Amino acid sequence: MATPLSLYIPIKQDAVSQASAQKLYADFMDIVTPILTEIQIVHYARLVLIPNASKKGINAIMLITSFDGAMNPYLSTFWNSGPGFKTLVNAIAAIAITHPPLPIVTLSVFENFITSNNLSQPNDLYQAYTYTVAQINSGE
Amino acid sequence: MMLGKTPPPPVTPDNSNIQGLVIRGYTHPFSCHLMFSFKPNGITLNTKGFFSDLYPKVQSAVDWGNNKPVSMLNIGITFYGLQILGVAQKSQSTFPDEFQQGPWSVASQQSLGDFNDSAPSNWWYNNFQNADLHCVVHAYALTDTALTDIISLITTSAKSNGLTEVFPLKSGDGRLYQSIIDNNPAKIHFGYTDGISEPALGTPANMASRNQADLDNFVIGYPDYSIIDPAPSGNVSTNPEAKFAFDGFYNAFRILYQDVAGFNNFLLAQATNPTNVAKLSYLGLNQDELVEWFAAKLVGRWRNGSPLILSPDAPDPATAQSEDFGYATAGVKSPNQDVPSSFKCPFSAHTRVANPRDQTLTPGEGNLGPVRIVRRGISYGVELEGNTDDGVDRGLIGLFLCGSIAQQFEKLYGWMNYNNFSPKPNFSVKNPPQDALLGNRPTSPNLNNYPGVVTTFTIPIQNPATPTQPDSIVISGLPEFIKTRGTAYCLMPSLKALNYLATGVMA
Ligand code: HEM
Repeated sequence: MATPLSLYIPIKQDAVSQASAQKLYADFMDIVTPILTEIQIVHYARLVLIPNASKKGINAIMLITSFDGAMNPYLSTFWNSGPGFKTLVNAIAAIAITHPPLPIVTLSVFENFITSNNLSQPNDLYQAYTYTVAQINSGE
Repeated sequence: MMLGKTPPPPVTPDNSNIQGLVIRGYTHPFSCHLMFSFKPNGITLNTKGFFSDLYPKVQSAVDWGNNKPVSMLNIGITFYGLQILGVAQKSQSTFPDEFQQGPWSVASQQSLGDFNDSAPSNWWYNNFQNADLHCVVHAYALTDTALTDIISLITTSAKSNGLTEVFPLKSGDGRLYQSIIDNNPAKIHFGYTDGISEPALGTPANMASRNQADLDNFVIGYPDYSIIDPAPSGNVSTNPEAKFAFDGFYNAFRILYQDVAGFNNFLLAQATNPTNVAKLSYLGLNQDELVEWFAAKLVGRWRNGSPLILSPDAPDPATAQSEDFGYATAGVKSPNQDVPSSFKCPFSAHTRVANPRDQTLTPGEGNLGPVRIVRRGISYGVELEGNTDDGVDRGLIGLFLCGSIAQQFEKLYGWMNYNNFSPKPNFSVKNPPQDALLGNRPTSPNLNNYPGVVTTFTIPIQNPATPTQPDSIVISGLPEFIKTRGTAYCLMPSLKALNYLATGVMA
């Protein structure tokens, strides 16, 4: 059973925030690859910058992923994966229009931030297969 | 654990501020679990009056020594209840999301998997709406009369303070009363001894010795060394929710019907199945002993409590209360190839799923071992005589105590519904099995509710006469032995917080 996550975070329009979003996009693969390779529950992860309707500047950051297990118990797996992930979350929250008090240092604040910005429901996912990442990686 | 700080030395909570249930299992032979809605019953709601009437009977975790209370109670409150009490924020609450949403939410149901008769839309016999349950009062007594007295205190106060009692059952007076099975308070309806294995609830000495069984994973407000970080644990001087929740814990309160006749008949069918009997003939067991053998394989402990890992061949009074064992077999090259341990205890046996102990877990589970929960359940409904169903409602009044319902209770439920938390080859097969005892099975019309899951239970066996030819008993189409009658997620607030509800003043 995999869970879809579509994190939609409208961001501030000032130049610094806009530049941060571009940098997050540029660095995303480098940041997440070691973390996600280690925890072996993520099928794929993408960061998308959604443009403003005017086509000038970025309206929102969207993180699209699907991972093994249910959302409630497994968000902690990301949070506990190490400082790299916490830094990423705080960098996203820092440019979000709405965010909890920063820095985000506790798991529950992180969880509530994610669930309140997630546009997907558990059943909104077509899966061609039911294997977990750990199963696929082990060549079972 | 907090981010980037050197934590102060570990602190042990003050037992006088914690409701007693989490620290110790009560052995009072009588109990009743009363449920209330704060929806007014016709007169003005006065929750202060209600909590001040009950407060003197609230049992803390302080050791009562020789003065075992004749009657006492503990109190849980749901998130909606806390909102009505003005404790939880209407928006931007810092309480954990699963507690806010409730166990019937789509997100929680991803792990709990309640379908068909067990579906949240059928909970509590539809006597009331899931969201209308606001408060559960757990009353314990040494005698029947003392229980009647304390129930009367609670219900009289509820009535006069405008609360509405809601009834979880449709039998008797609709309330959940504890029943004693076979004159043995430790026994549950399927005939097993329960309540043996519980987390030690210690205090870590330092970061390196942190343990899933430590108390700081169960009680809110001790985040520095906690693996679980029970919430809301933020700054109590700036976050009123964290201040209220401090020294509280959560109760995943779940009422589970047990189909005793179905269970007994299933065991009998296995013990008389000619293929099984032939394969197991090397054991030299008679039919009754084979029934016990299958019962033990489903749970991982014999009905007397002996763990299969320590007593693989027969129950042994000497191991009946044993706690100190693991599943990993010494000398096996890789834990992934630990077939020998499964000859003793099958991988999907209930206790091996609910606490796989030292068994290797998949990388996503981290390296601090399996999460734990504190169980304080008791039985309800009279014992079944014989093997024919009498239509009586009976089962488990489940009190599953946690610091995080999502990370502990829901995670274990997910494991029970999908046994894919350990690596290949034996456990995490492409189509994961389910806990042999628990769980809705993917049955019609909900065949796809657990994608990829199979209802096969495999019991590896090894006839000593043919050591090179391991075999197995494969039971396909495991039935549903359990149905969910209802679930409530409650905060069990500290005594100071309960006193605040009674007086309006926070000490
Ligand atoms: C009617 C339903 C259930 C029955 C009949 C049942 C039965 C049992 C029995 C007989 C034991 C062995 C005694 C012991 O180790 O104390 C046990 C242990 C356990 N059960 Fe259950 N159980 C039920 C529901 C649950 C649920 C819903 C959960 C979790 C959410 C759960 C979690 C555990 C855990 C964690 C252990 C201890 C395992 C260990 O540490 O070795 N049980 N159960």
